[in-house]
Amino acid sequence: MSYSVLLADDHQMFREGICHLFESRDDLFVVGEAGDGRTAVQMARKMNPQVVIMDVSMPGLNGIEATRQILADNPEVKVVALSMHSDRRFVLKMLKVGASGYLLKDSVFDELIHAIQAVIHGKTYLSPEIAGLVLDDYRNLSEHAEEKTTSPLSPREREVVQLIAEGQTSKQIAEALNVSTKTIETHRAQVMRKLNVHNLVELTKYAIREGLTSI
Amino acid sequence: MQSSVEIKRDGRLSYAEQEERIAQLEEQLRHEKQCRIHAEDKAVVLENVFQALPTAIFYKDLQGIYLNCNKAFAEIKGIFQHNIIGKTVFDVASQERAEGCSEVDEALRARGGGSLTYELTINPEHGRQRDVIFSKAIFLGADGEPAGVVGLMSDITEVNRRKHQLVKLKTKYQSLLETIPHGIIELDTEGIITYSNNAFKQMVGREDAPPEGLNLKDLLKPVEDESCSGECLTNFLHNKLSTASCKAKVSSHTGRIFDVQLDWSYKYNENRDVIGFILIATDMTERNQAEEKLKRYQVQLRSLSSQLSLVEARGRRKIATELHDNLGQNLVLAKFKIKSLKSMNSSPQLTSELNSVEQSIEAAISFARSLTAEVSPLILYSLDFESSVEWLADNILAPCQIKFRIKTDDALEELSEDTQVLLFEAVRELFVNIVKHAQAKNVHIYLKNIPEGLQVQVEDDGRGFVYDPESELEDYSGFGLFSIRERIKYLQGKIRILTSLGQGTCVQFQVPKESSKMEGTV
Repeated sequence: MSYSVLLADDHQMFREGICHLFESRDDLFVVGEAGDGRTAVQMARKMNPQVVIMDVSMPGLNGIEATRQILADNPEVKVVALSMHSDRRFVLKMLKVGASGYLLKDSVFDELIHAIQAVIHGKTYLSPEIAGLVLDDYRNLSEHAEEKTTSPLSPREREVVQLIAEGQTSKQIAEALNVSTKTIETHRAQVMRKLNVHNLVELTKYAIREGLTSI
Repeated sequence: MQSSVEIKRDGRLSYAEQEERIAQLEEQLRHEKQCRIHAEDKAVVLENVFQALPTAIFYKDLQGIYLNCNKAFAEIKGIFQHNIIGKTVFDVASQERAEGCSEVDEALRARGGGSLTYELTINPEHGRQRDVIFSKAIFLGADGEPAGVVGLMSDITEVNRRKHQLVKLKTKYQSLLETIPHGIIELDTEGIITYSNNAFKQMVGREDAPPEGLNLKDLLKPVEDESCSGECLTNFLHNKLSTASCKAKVSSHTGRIFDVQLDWSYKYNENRDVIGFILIATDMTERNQAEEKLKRYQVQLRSLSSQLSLVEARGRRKIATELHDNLGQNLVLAKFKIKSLKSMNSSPQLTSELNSVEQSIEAAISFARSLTAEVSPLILYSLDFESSVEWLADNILAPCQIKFRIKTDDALEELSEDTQVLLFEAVRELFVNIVKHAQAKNVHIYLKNIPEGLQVQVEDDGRGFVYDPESELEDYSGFGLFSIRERIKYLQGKIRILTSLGQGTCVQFQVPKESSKMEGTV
């Protein structure tokens, strides 16, 4: 069986090199070449390739955005990312938008065929140099997994924090919210305990960070 | 003294009577002698007093011959006393002065009494020039008839010198008042102008019609929209003093509208009762214009400096792109071709050479890659802001063993490229600060969407610093805060710093997502 491949890379010589690589093979053939992300999205729509070889950095629409759009059009397409960048953020972004493989360009001629075969069979392929980066990130993620992302404060408590951060005294807040000063003091202590903060500065930092009050 | 001894008719006295008579006469003589001594003592004291008087005095007979004078007189004349007494004024003064003097004496004599006072300057041969007040009067002899002229001379040289100084000071003060560019006015307690200088007259367009006698409120009317400062002026005009200084936009009766600053103080009398006000009015129009101009320059400067950053960033990006696209990819292709050559070739020697070339190319690829990142983080242009901040933290904080965490909203607002570049530079500056000054162990970075745009908050747990939000950030330029503020201001954003010693530092900034409205773009 033969698989259709779309090549997206702004570097013509590089595209030629890859085409050259495919010449000797019966199972892979190039259906089109695109020099930028936007063209790649259009060609993918028109030609419906099974595999897209996608350079990450391209003028106009970059490889990340192009991949997102191509996969939005057709989730069945397998995208193999190519990049000079070994930075994990590029790798993670590319994987996040749905790429099935990520190769560093300097090893592309050794690994590309292998990578295409892997993704066609529903597997993921990462260059060995970057597989480690992805793993590190996963470890980091699980370390912070238990952190709460939602606010631990009740709506009333958030209101009180906002007014405190805006410089109001307990008495003023009590008047504004039509409750007793003692109630406000209780809220205040409760908030401090919940957030594990110990002074007004930290409380203000929290309020601004959470967008409860503005600078 | 009447004798108590009766003299006999024949004129002879008895012996006893004679004895008694002699005793009486002796007693009388002794008494008279005592009286004379007493009178002589009195005369000496009187003469001493006369001589000791600090005021110059003399008297002369009707012929003009000096009968006596005191030391003070001799001193003023610069002549010894014995050279004056017995002489006339023609012997002790110039001809001209002597004639003047005798005329006065003559006038007095003719009037038969009274006194005359006049001022003159005397220039004695020995001694310095003096201003004196001369008073002369006719004195009477024992027979009650005019006997001569008594004169009194007071030295007023010092008094005149002071008077002169006072006049000079007054002139100086007045010319100062009239030439000073500030309007100066004196008001009574009702607000009526009692004095105004030239500058004030010009200010209110009353060079030809002096404003003295008018009420200040008829001359300066606060313009309505300047509520705050206008209120201050109104209070003043209604004698409700609140502060000693106010700024207001006012219109004069000619219709000219200008900014004025009024500084006033109370005017007191000797009993410390307020009797009015002294007002300094400064026309602020020019100064305000200069300030406006300065502000515009500041904005332009800020814009220039930010533009410079952007231009530099663009230049770097271009170089990095070339490095990445051209050099990097060509090296990769070269590597690929070497590999192809290696597979076609069977000579071990050539293979070894090709291996060496391949290694060199690999080293070059790696170098090009790190150089690219160094010149310009392409991540900034290829990925989102969050990734760029993370990259910065990886490259600046992590190598210094500072742990960091980034919390971000899921879908961060997209920023324009220029905004992103300037924000990136600001965050880089903050991170460099932390590494250089903060001695922090942990840094938390929060990126958040807010209605106005994007909010960045960088908190560290370092040593913090003493920060006065009222003071200009220029004072903290050593901390790089100045350039951060300039960038944020250029983006029309806001910056806030929370810190104190031992409390860590928290820098927050908010920038609008729209960068098209960048202030002062040049």
